[in-house]
Amino acid sequence: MHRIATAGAARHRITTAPARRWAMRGSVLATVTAVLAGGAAARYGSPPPPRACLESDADCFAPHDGTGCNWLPCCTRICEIDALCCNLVWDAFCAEAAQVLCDPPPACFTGVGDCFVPQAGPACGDEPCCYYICAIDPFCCLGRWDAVCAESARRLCATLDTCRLPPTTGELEQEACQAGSNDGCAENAFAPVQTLRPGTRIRGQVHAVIRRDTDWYALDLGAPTRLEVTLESEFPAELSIVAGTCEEGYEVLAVAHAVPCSMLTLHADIGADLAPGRILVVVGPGSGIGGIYDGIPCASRPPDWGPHIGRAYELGTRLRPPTGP
Amino acid sequence: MPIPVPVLSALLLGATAQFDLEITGVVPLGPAFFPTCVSIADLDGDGLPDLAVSGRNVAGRMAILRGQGPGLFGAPEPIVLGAQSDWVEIADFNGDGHQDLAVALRTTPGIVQILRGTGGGGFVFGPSLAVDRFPTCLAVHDIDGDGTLDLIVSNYGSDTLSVLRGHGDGTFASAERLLVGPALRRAPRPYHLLLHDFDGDGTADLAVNHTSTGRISVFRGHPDGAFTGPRILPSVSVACIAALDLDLDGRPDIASFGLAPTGGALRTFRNVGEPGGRPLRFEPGPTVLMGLWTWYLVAADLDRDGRDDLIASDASLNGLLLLKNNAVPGVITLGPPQPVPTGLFPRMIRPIDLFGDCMRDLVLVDIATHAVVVLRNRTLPAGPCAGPDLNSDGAVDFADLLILLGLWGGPGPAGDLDGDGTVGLADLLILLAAWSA
Repeated sequence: MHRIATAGAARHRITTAPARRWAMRGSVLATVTAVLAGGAAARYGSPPPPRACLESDADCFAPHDGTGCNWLPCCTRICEIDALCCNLVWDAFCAEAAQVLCDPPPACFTGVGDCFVPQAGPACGDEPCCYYICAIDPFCCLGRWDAVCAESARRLCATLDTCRLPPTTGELEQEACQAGSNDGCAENAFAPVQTLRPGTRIRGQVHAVIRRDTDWYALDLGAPTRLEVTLESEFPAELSIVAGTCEEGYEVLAVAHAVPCSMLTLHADIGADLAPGRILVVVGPGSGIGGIYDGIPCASRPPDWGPHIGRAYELGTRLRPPTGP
Repeated sequence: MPIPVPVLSALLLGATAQFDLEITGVVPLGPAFFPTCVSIADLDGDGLPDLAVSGRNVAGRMAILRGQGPGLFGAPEPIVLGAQSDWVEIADFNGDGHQDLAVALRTTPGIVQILRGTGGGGFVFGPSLAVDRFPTCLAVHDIDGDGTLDLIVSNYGSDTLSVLRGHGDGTFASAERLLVGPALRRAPRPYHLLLHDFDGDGTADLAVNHTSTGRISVFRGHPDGAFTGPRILPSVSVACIAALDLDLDGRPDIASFGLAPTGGALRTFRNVGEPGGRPLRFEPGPTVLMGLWTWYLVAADLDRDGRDDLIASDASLNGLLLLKNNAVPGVITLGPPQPVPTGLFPRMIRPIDLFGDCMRDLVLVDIATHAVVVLRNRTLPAGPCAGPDLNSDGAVDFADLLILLGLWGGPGPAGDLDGDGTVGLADLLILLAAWSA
């Protein structure tokens, strides 16, 4: 059975001033120092955390007049969602967001047992794998590490922190992280889509912070055809082929899920050729039990936040001759 | 901007009363029972309808209430499930002639607990069926036409529906998953599901609401029990959905309710797909201003005019809102909402004729007062049960027209579809309005 080596996150955790929230819970969790975070950032090649998060000594969970707060991972995360918390003031919104979001599954720090088999309680003993699965399915840490969690772990933890796609020669997705410029019908209002030319490959990236990014690509078909879509991703991915409009609703023609670093091929023409018109191809983080809505931030993050899930994917399309009458 | 409750209430209370419903019974379920769903059938074989009530209580109890006569029910007999329950359905899953129960347990991992009826209203624990996170709603139907009953389950804590195919002996195959909201940014939180033949191909299709994204997913059913899609309707903020023919074109449309503060309105979706299995298509219809904390919605013909009306629960108004379906073919027309106080928070409603007068009465569970409430429908005097379908052949057609003409000028009740004591022009119009349905 494949096991994942525990990353250094827990070992490097330094017990300085505990965050109030954890102290109240009697948690062994403690604040991560700026020194450690800086080292981690250098190791992972990620941009440095916001300056306000390094300099502030204020409580993350209470509004104050300054910027940032004293628990670096929490501060970094909140400012990633709302930069004003680090640029203007750590107001009530920032504090409330911290109450809700700076709550990594504590069960992973104390979980026991093999992640690949069901456990009697929440979490499992392999911390990175535990984090990974709980990002996908929070119930594995809030409820019980049941058979669904164990199945997800067997399927996904083997690629944990190791799946990285090679450099691409394809086109690049035009959406910057969290820009929402190709979200299609995923939100209430119609957002633009990026046009996809048959036969080309697209290299894109997703993220998942409270909500997941979904990248919508439009493929305009001039004649009846069959369509084959391929996807390779660094993260557990959901690939959907849909038709319709945001205003009238859209129909999911086909949906499938990709395991990291394995090639997924999806056909949208089961039983009949696709009629001429616009077809939409949608990529987002997801697994067989649903979407992944958290745990894939835009920037690399300190190791205290668990394993780094890759964000990149490579999407390809191929038109095939129609089956004919 | 939401309308304040007092203003809205005044508006609604000023509406003309079109239905006459009277509370004839209130059965307490015990403190802190928090009933969530009621299902009705003769559980003990005495010919009277009994009630099965699920509850979200810490003791993990549900209850059986035995029918004791028209509209009367006995004290609750508890069944300890060991977990909170959100939904219960009654059916004979193993074909032994005794009604069984399927109960959605609000657990993670989710469980649908089968309770096998032993006759006389007794139950023993049957299989515990594994589904996804927090199952909240069940539907029972033979989806694959093999003569055995299957289960469809919505899993609020996952993004999925579970399809459990029955073997006919009370056991079920492992759950098949349907993804409710592919390509959406937020978890859909599926809650309330419906089975209806939306595309007119003779097989049941499946609609489910998203409580989080406010959308509705409609899956197309196939004769082998498979479902494809879904078609995802635009966001409207949805707490509950109902299927009924709103425009009298013979196809079921969808009505949906929104939660406050973004909701507060009943929205309609006309079924405009081509009959016979073509792609499912719906287009937005009229919107009706409703209460501020609407929760449940169900369709039933309350006035025997051949058109299903809408019954909604609203916690802000402490009761029900009734909407008369005044549709004419091709046009959705709903009357103003008529409030009916029933308690505090009617959580779930089942229409049924409890008094044998061919009127659809209502049984509801109130999650705030921990009670079952029975409302007798006195909208019309006793009349023909079939409504405009005077020969009860399942269709309103030329044969019914001939029967009505044969009864012309008579006192009824046969043929007196509007209950005015005479078979006349108004009854003919009711029959013609229901013709295609």
